[in-house]
Amino acid sequence: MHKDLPDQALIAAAQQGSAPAWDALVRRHETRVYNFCLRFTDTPDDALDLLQEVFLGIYRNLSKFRGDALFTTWLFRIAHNKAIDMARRRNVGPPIDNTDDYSVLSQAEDFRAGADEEIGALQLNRQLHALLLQLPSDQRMTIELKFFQELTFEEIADIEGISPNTAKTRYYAALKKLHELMEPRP
Amino acid sequence: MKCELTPELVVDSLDPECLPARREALQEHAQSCHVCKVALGDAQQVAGLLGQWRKQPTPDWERAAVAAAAPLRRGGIGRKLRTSPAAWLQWGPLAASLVIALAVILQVRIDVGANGLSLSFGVPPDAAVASDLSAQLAVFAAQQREDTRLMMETALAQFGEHTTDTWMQLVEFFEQQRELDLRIMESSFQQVLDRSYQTVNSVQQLASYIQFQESHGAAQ
Repeated sequence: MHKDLPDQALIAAAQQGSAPAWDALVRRHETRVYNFCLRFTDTPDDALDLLQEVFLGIYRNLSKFRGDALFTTWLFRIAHNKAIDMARRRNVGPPIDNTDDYSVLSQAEDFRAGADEEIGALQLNRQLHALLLQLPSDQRMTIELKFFQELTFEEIADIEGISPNTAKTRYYAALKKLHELMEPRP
Repeated sequence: MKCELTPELVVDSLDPECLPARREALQEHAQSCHVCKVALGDAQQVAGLLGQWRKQPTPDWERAAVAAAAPLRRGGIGRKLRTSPAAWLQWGPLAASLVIALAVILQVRIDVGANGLSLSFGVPPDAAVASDLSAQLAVFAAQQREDTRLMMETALAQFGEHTTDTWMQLVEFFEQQRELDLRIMESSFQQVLDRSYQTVNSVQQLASYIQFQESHGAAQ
């Protein structure tokens, strides 16, 4: 029954104490959040920890959600804050002087041509994850919010506390850096 | 060689929010600007690669545990809505526990005296309690003595001019009482002696019987 309800209705019901509405809301968004967490943390275990922290934060602040913005925007504001907090706690940063060659990624089709397509996809995910980890944290977050979550630059600017132009500059810098990493090394 | 439009062109071209007219103008520029054309091609290659991320399914996790771990700041998921107007009463047990705990910690004493209830904190020293009790007993004893003295004075005032006959009758009464007491005592002693004598006789009879039984048994 709850599966067909829009986010606003589920949130309103959850705010009134409906456990099934909360469960439906979580199930609707958890995969998107989990993949965000996977890309932003080092291990699947960390990703699951972050996922729980994000939904705990959402649950605690559910009464504050007024519907002025999309729920997904509000959700990723919390996810952003939790991810930054976790990165600070664990002192996670891009590896220094990484010598991995990501040029193989430019032939990404090779990964999927194997006998087991699923394994190939997972391997590609790991390579992309390693590539993203080379970015500075702010650029990685901008790529995450713009490319994967498809937020507007205004929304990203609001979440990150910067101007929309700065968000655009970070995005461009991140794309450029990723392409440089994908270039074959001598 | 650089083009100042390159960052904007790349970013806006990849942005799904970009308006069609704006996108068309950017593409027109890219056709004529080699720097922007290359940069856009590079960015599209990166975007194409990132787009191949395969969504991973969420592992099973305790969704309800989130609700159990922390209450909502207002209301609560999985809780019954408040229906009672006196919802603040739910804090009653907690408040009562707090008051009791404070009373225990502060060693509060409630005494009921002649002046009503009195509230005090801490335990009074034993010496003070003993002193207080002694003082009360002394007052009581003095009161008793005073009462006795008053009674004697009243009796003497009443019989202050009694005659010698009255004294003689009183003495005679005391002597009679004494004689009666002596008789009772004598009678009691006599009874005790009689019982002792009977006891000795019984023991002697028992001893004779046992001797008889032993000698009879040996003969058989």
